Amino acid sequence: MMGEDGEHITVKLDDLLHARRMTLTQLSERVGLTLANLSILKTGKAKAIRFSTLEAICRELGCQPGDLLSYEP
Amino acid sequence: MLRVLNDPLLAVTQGLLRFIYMALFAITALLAIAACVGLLSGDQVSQYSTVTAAQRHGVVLILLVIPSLALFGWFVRILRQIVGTVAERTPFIAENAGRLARMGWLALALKGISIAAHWVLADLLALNKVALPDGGIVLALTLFILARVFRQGAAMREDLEGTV
Repeated sequence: MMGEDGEHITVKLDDLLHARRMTLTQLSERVGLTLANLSILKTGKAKAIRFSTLEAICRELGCQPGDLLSYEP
Repeated sequence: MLRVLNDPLLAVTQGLLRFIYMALFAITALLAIAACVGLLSGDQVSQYSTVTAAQRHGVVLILLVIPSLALFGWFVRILRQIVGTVAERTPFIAENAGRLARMGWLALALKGISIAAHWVLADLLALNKVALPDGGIVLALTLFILARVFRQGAAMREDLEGTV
């Protein structure tokens, strides 16, 4: 995700999935999001993330929002 | 197509606009042919007799009516494209903002032609040349504002599409 000033929010969904031996398809079934939308999030093409999405992903992956997102100036 | 049939308003609007567009096309073509024939025969007549003021005004009026019909046809064509996007359930796109702005300019041009036609008629019938205000300017302004609304709507839709 790129901000207006060229700053980056990196989505670390790939690392979290790898650590939990879970596929994107499995996660999409558990959180009730489409594979296409999760793929957009994973590849960093998303412009915004809903709290409900963040909550569902954190619940299923047993992590904190900070584990999923990081800020790189 | 099924979506259009399930929506009577859309179906009626699309059918009506298609009819108006085809009728305008046919009338404009017929008038253009008639004007060409009239002008050619007028040339022959003018060699033998003097052309009256009423005839001159008539020619000017026809020359004003033809472009106004063509512009209105263009207006209806753009409106059909916008209605088409409504039928596809994707009205908030940048193209529609541009289309609405073009419709605004067309409405202004039509208003200009109608003022010119009013002057010609007033001159012919010795009436007051001050044109009464109608909805032409208000329509153009509304279309320009709607173009901005759609531009904003398209940007918001784009943002929403990137939201997961």
